[in-house]
Amino acid sequence: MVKVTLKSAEGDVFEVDEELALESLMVKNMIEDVGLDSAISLPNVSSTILAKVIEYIKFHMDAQKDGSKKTSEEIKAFDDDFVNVGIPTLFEMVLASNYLNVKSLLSLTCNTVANMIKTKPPAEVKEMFTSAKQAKA
Amino acid sequence: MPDWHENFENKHCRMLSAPLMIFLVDPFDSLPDSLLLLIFNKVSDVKSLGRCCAVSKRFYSLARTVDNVVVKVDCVISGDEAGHLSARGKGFFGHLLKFFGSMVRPLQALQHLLVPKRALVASTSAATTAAADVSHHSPGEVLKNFRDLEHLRIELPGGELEIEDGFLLKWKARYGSTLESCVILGASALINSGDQSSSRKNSTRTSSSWLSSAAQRRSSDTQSSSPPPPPPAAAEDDGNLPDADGGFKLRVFLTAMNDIFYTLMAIIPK
Repeated sequence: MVKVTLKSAEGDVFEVDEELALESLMVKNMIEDVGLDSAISLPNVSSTILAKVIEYIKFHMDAQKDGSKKTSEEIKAFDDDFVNVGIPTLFEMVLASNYLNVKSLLSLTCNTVANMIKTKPPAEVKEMFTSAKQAKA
Repeated sequence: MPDWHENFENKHCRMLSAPLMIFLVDPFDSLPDSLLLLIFNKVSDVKSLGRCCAVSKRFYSLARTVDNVVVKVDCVISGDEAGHLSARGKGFFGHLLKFFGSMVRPLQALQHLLVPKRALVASTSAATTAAADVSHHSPGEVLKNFRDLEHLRIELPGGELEIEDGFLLKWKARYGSTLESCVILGASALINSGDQSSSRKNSTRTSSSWLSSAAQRRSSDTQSSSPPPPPPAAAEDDGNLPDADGGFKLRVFLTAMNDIFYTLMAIIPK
């Protein structure tokens, strides 16, 4: 199995299967351009987020394999749990999945943010994200 | 004195940095417009988008460019006494009329465009005119704020229209530069026999069946800002109304779809 080396913003190195890395269209294009010899650096993605993205892709690749026994409920439970993070992290994941061009993750995270906005009055939306700001600060 | 200096600097830097950080990290500021628009497209509900407009200037300018909108007409004004009477008198035909009557009211801004249908309604229920002075935001008014509309879905819960419990009518229109397609999905407990070929059982509601139909129109006839041509009125043959025949109802639905189609065209000519 061919390995691909990904380098996060902090310089941490992640070694993943080529198959997994190709799920990100951005990485796929990079591999096509520069080949597999050098590490692919992702200056816009932090280590924690990159680890999460890899975890997500891994889970869904396993779930799609023929021998997988995962039910759609289990997959949904994983997705729900996956996006059940703080707002700053969630937004970083939106950015990262957009940058890495992982369609399924982008739509999952965007849906989550949309659902947060959907049912709330404006003041609450504002408050929600202001408190997120302060929490991060 | 270096100790004191260091202490002072540490203390004040911390004091300064905290409020500065608050201004720097608004999660939404980190998202480019394109991503925020993606999120708004997933919100898509017209009421939620309206609320988003009130959050900030950036939200306001972006929420108006959403191209995927769902309108839920869930606040149809009820209490149409005259409509009730005519509905009781004429069975399904009356129901249909009342349905049209209720339809017209949320679309008040477009009434002048619906002359043929409205004339039909007004002849049997005078209440529609009385309802005209109730202030109500019509879908047309709301939707004209959206400039780049591409997909529009309107949901009408039938229970609100007092047609029959469990009645549901959905339609969906796809827009390119002009109207590309219009899909209307109606489900009703009224129709449970008849044309099995075009209806299939809905698993969640045992007594309901689905009628779905797609109306594909050439885009050439959609630039009309002129009044729509009179709908082919299946309702006119009141006397020889077949008794609860699925085929007839299908025809009625097709007529209703035609009306809705022209209404949609009137809402968004482009």
